[in-house]
Amino acid sequence: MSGKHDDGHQPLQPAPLDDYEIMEIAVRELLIEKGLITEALRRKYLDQIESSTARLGARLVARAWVDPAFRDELLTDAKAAASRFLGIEILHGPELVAVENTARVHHVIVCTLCSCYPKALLGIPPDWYKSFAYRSRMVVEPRAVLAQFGTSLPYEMEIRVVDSTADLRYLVIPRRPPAAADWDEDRLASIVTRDSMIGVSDIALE
Amino acid sequence: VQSRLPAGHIRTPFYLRGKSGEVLRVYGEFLDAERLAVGGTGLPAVAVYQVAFDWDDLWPYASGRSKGVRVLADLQENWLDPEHEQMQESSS
Repeated sequence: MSGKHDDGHQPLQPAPLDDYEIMEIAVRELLIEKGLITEALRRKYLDQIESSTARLGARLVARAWVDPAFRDELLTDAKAAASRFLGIEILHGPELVAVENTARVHHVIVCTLCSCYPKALLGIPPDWYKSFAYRSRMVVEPRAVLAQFGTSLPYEMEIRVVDSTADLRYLVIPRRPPAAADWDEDRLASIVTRDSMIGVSDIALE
Repeated sequence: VQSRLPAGHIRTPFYLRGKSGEVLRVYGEFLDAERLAVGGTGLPAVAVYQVAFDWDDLWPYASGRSKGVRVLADLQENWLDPEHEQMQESSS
């Protein structure tokens, strides 16, 4: 690459740090210097967060569909059930609650205060989940917002908008498509989408 | 739900303050987020309840059809009063 940039292009430079990034680095370096955390530990947790995807949640849902005893356990104590079944350490994280969508009741999750989300099971939340529009409109006009996600629910169905305002994170167990009645667990897990576990959509088969 | 306006880190959304709902679940005791946020230990712990609100009660002036919609939120006990006490307060 030549050093000349007379065609209007700027040389590639790292973006300047904003205040929050500077603060993060300062606090991080202090914590490490004082021996409260190590760089390796920080990397490990960050890697865990960034590597977890909605596949984990999907495996839980599929198991709950095929195993009524596990479903009951998941609805009663989601954190213990998820930790045991997935063999992952989520016990240090926030409390976890599973809610079940049925033919009568549809749950959808929002965090109007910030963007609380079951990251251990669903990964990093999508940008729209954190958007001001979603967070405010979901509690005001849930049917309209759901319709924008392509989800039109019959008027006799109760809609429960779950606002996760405290130390509990929610996972929706979506309805199992009737066409998937005789599928095995692995195949079921492959159709469970992230959005269906937030509750903004049902699971549609081709 | 009380309709106070304290400063600080509050987990009771504005749209629920002053509204009445029904307790669905008792989640047990959690560290007090309002104290934790200002460098405290979060003790004493406070009970957290899942409370259900009817959509019609939350947005009395809204038009549109949201029949059968409820909003469920997790609220700290220090924000909640039993319904009959609130009625006594308002009548005195």
